[in-house]
Amino acid sequence: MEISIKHDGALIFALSGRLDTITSQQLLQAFAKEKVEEELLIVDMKDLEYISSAGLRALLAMKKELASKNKELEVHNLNDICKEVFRVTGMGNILTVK
Amino acid sequence: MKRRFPILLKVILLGIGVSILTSGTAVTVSYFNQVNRGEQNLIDSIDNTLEAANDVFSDLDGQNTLLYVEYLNDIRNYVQNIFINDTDKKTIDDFNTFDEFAAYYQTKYRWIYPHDPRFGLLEPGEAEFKLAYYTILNLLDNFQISSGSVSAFLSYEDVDKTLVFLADSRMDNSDRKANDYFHVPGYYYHIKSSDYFVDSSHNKHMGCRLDGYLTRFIEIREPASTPDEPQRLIANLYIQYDLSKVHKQSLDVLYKELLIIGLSALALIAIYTAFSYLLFVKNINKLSKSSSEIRQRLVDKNMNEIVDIPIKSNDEMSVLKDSLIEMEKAIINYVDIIHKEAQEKERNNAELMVASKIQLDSLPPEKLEDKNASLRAFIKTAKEVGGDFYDYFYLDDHRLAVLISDVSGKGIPASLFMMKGKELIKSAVQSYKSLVEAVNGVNNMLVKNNEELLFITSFVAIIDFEKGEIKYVNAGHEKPYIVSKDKVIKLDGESNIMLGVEANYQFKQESHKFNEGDYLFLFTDGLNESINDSEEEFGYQRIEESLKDTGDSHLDDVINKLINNLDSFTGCREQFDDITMLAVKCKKNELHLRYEQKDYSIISDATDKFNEYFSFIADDKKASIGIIIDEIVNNYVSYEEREDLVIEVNFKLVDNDLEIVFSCNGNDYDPFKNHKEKFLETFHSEIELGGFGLSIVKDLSKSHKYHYKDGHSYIEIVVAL
Repeated sequence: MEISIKHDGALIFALSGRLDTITSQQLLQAFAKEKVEEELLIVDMKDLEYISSAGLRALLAMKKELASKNKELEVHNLNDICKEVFRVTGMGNILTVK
Repeated sequence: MKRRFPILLKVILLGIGVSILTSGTAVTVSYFNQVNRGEQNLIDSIDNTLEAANDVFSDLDGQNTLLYVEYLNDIRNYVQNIFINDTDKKTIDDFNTFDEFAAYYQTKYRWIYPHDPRFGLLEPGEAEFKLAYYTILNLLDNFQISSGSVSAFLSYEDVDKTLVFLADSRMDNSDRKANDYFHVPGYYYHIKSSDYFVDSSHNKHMGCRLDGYLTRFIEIREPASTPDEPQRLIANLYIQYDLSKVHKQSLDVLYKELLIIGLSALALIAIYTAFSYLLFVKNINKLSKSSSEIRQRLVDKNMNEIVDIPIKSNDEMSVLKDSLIEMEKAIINYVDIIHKEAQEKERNNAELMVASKIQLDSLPPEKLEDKNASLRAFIKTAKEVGGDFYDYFYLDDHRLAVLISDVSGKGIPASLFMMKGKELIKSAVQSYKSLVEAVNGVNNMLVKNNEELLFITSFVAIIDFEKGEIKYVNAGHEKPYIVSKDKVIKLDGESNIMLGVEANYQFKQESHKFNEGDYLFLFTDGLNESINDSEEEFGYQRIEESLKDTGDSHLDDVINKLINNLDSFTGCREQFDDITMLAVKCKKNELHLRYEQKDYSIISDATDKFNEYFSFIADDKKASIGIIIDEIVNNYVSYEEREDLVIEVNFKLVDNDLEIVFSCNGNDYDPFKNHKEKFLETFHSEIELGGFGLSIVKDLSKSHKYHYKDGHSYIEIVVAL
């Protein structure tokens, strides 16, 4: 999985590849390194092939961490399979999906 | 770089050398002339002196000129004084006679220089002697003044112990006191002037040169009573010259001459050098300047005009100039030709590159993965455009035509023939009812209009995946192999002749079983005929060795193994022929993976292998299966406790479904019973986040099952494709 990080008003993590057991650790590490100065973190899933439950857990952990600092997390550009995963697990209700 | 040694310097050195040689010779000759002349002068002077002495002696009065000089007492005293401190002191009284005494001391001391006044003691008649003595002395004085250092003496040789005369004038003129330098070989002096005369008739001016002295002498003899009686030799008159004076004078002259010669030589060298410069060096410099200008223009590619060489002389230099100009013209001409040739070659190369690209582009991709087959091709041309090619294409959904060929010859002609052959074979195989008819047809078409007598060796096969069979025609090509799990079989059916050689040749078709998991390995002779530095061929045996035990291998690994083995065999040896390989595997509908490790990396490995093997499956289905693999394997690796965990995954196509069976030697645990359906609206800890994966798996699959048997848990999942 590739993570490209941009600052454009919000902090943007653009992901490509698969977000699974192995790569979710990468995402968490990248997140831990980042000093989030913006109010909002956007995870852009435009080029993501799929997300597994490990990836969902990583996103939830990030949201929890941000919430403690009164910051927001949004998930953008989900493909069909990711939408399906969000739907099945109810993640759509917990994370802000756009 | 070699140090430069300019011509001008050489000319100067040569001039110096020649000058030294010639002036050296001249000066040497002159020096010896000078010496000889000086010596001759001396000899003349001596002769004059001796003549004068002769005259004096002759003029002495005959009767009363007997000079008798006795200095017995003086000499006695003197000798006693001299040897007063002699340890072996002997006085005159110790001897019987003075002769004995004198002889004793003479042996001991060669010369005795008595002090003073002998002339005061002279008896009557001595006046003549005195006169003679002074006359000679005077002559010698004069002579000495004129000729420098001189030593003259008369020696006494008579048995009567009669001293004739003795004089020495070796001292400087001012200090010279003749008295002090009488040599005293005896104890009395006795001159019998009338009896002795200088024999002018025997006036042999004999001379000898000893130790830098020139000695001349004349003989003084008794007058003869009869003309026949031999004249008794009384004494020799010696005159001895120190030649160093003469030599010194000669040297002075020599230095002057050297100076003059040296100066003239320098002047000559200067003139010589100037002429050399004007004649050669100047022009050579011009030539070298011009030639470097020519070189610069060649480098700058500025060849529009001929370089002017400003040499106007009409000697060999102008010949050299002309030939340089001719050479320049020739170079310009030649460069022009080369330039055009290079352009031509560049264009040819570019065209060859394009041809090569077109040729390679005309080949199908080097990789094919579909539900029937896995195919890998490798081609490495030796020249830009080669004669090897491969091709594959489906005749229908379960029959794949595969072929590999090698066109005779190389370069553009082979390439053109190859394109023609490739298209002919493809259209023939697609249109004819049977493979053998297609090959017969292609052969006949290639034979026509084949003036260049090119030919193609070709192995053409049709793989029927449904029947598990391969039909092939081998037109003079290398025999390929079928590799199965436990053996390597050479397809050595009928070989036939090459395509394009003989019209109406009836090719023979063969067939062989081709089972799931088997692969067919085709190659061109570039592989087996590759040689190493010992001129050994790679050969069939090495190919078979490389293929052995690769039945289960991935085709990428098979091709890489061949390439590596070939590279390490040939080393640095340049490839001389195209090398082409093609491997095609009859796929099973099943992929089985087994991992004896407990590691999350299993997830990505299994996902990648699945994606490749079942590459024809749609991407969204691949994503679903990727998620399923991740969830199940993650559960195994995270929650199973045993370290020697063995995880197996089997994918199998069944109609339009994919059956996936995960198994492991872990606990009897049905994950579908214990998972959470949905995330809660809120969550409090990481632990709450576990267990949701299985709901995703359930959602993405058509059916799921769990059972436990013989120490293994099995999860069976069916995904609709």
